[in-house]
Amino acid sequence: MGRKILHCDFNNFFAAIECLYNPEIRDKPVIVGGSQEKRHGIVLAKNYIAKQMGVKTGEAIWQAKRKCPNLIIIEPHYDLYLRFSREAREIYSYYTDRIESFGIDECWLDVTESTRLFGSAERIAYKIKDRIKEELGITVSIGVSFNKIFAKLGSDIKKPDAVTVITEDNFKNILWKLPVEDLLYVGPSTKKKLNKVAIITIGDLANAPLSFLKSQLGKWGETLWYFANGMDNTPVAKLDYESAVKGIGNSMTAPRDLTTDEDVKLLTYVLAESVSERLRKHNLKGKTVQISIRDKDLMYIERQEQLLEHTFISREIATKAYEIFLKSWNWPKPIRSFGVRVTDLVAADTYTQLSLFENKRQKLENIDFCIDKIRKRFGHYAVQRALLLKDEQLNANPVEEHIIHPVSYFQ
Amino acid sequence: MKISCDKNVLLEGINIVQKAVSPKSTMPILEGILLEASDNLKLVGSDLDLGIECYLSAFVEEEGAVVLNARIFGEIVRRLPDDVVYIEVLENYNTNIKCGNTEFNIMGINPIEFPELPKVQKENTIIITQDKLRSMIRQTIFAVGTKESKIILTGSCLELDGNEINMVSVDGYRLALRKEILDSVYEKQSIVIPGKTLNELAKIIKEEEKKISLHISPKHVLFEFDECRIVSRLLEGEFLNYKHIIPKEYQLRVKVKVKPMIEAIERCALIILSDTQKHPIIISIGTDVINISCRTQTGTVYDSLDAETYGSDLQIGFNYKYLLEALKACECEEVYMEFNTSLSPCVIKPIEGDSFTHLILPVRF
Repeated sequence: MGRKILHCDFNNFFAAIECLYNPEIRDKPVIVGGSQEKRHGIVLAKNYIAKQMGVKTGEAIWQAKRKCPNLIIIEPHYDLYLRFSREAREIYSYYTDRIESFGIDECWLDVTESTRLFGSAERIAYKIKDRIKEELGITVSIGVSFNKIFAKLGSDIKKPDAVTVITEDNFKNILWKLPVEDLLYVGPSTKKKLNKVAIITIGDLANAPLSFLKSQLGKWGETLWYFANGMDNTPVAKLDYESAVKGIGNSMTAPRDLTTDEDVKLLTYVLAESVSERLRKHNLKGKTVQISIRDKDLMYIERQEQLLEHTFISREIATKAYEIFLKSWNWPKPIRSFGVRVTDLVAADTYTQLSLFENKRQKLENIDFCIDKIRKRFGHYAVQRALLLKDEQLNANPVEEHIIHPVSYFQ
Repeated sequence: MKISCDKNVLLEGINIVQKAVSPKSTMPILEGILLEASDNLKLVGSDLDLGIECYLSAFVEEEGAVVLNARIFGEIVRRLPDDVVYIEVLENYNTNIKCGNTEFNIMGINPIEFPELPKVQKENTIIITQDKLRSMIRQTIFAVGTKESKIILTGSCLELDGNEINMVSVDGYRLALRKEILDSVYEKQSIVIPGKTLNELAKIIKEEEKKISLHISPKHVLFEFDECRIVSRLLEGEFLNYKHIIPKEYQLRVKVKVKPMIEAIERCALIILSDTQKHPIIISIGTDVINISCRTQTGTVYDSLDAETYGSDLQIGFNYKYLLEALKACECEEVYMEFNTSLSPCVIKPIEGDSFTHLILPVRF
């Protein structure tokens, strides 16, 4: 007996919600985009009218405007989107307890065990689609298949407000003609590699010899070959399953390009404060500090080093991150975005080996906890490091402004 | 150079000087042993921080010198039959080694580039017996720090005051102090010797009452004994002012039998598998009893042993490794363990005298 897996994908999630709340813009081209002043100015989502004008997700707002001069740009309201995401999960949980989110607007559902209660997987898919439209006022497209990969491909085939069934009999006809980059984890660089060896469609990939793919792509080649042939048995996680956090990080595209050590130092503190606040919130300490730098030509590097002790003290993380930065960057180009990440996590308050030197650290921890409390009561900007007053533009609060974290397919 | 020498004499010398040779070095010559033949045969190994010289009795037919790769030369001599070894340096430092029916030809290196060991003035000299020094090192070396950030603590501090000599190691979480009485009186002074030097020295010196001389200069220390000379760089900087850390008083004193205590801790440690999670062992002291317990993701363990207790009950947690290493280094049957609170250090002392003091900071749990 094969599994019955649904993949529910909201259509134009952000834009659909904005249109729902603003009836007057429903018949106009709408995009949701980051603030242009802070230079998060890319298209996050678009409605169908904007799509018809050729606007693409991910392109800069000025590019979109050129294609579509009467474009309506709305700043994102993440708390609203999260609420819709939660309410959709409520509906899903009526049909199964195996629900796995993939980002904010996608979910896998394993309904194998629910078919006796609610009818076939296809019927469940139609029920879910109709309930979401009725109860939430936005639309989904759903792919029904026997594994997660094909269900995801299926949900892309008919949009909006549609159900596509991919079976073991029809997947070759429906999916194999799709371009290979539609497959999960085939990004621009893998696509390039595959196209070079005349693998253009998913079918080409499925029919290529496994050993050949391995020689071209290494272990990934094998994984992708299995994906293309429908041999994916990754389970759908349980509803209450929370994957163990492996690292906590923040990165930020600066409102202006960074050009001096001082600029980076400032941003390092902003990010380290946010990272360490989240560490403390989750009761974790980390040992490895990692920085990531993207320069103005989008060249990307990552560097990391270890701390002596596990920590959640913002100053220790910031100092280390800045130290790594000074070692690894001699300003060939201005920096566009910068990130700080802490990994090697352990539970924070379990046991502390007392030390002859560390009386200071206890104090530093207490200071950070104290700052957290002040900020919780009076807001993030109620208490600031003096350093951050030098440049208010760079002093953003990433904790509040970036709440959606990317997820991995592999748990 | 042309010499002959008994195989086992040669091997013993190689084994000693090899301790100063680093197996991988940026300078190939430092991966070698210098052989220098004049009146007798001198072997030298050095890694620039530590240098060892050893004099062997050998028949020198022709004076000279060569540097041979320590690993290859060592392995060759180790596997030669027990017989006389003939070594002759031919053209271009090609070296011929003959013993019984075996004959090797290996490439040598020009000895001219071999670094000279630092000269140490013999003005400030301490004399101690080898067995005393060996036991001082062995009872403190385990507490030497390993963190690069506190370089000074990667060595042990040797302190002289009158006829008293102290060796102290501290790594931030524990301290080991060992006292000895010397035959003569010396000027008050202290030096910090790298842990690596002491480690190798403890392996070379013997458990005998033979003398060893320590010649101290501002930057180096030279150990002279038997046929060996060991020169080591000293660590520079201020050693931790440890004296104020050791508590003078205690709330609770426990007389513990060392061996049963070690065995109980080792049993408890069996369920501590993760190095990062550092689960402590919990020691609960009641009237005349010590209970040791531990709880990890593997399971739980509970153990208890009799002891003489003087003072109020206490529960305290430790990293078992620190406790174990300190107890093992006591090298006696019974000790006093002294406590104040569950967050203050535990001190381990001998029943009589003050030849050693171990201090361990607890784990808050």
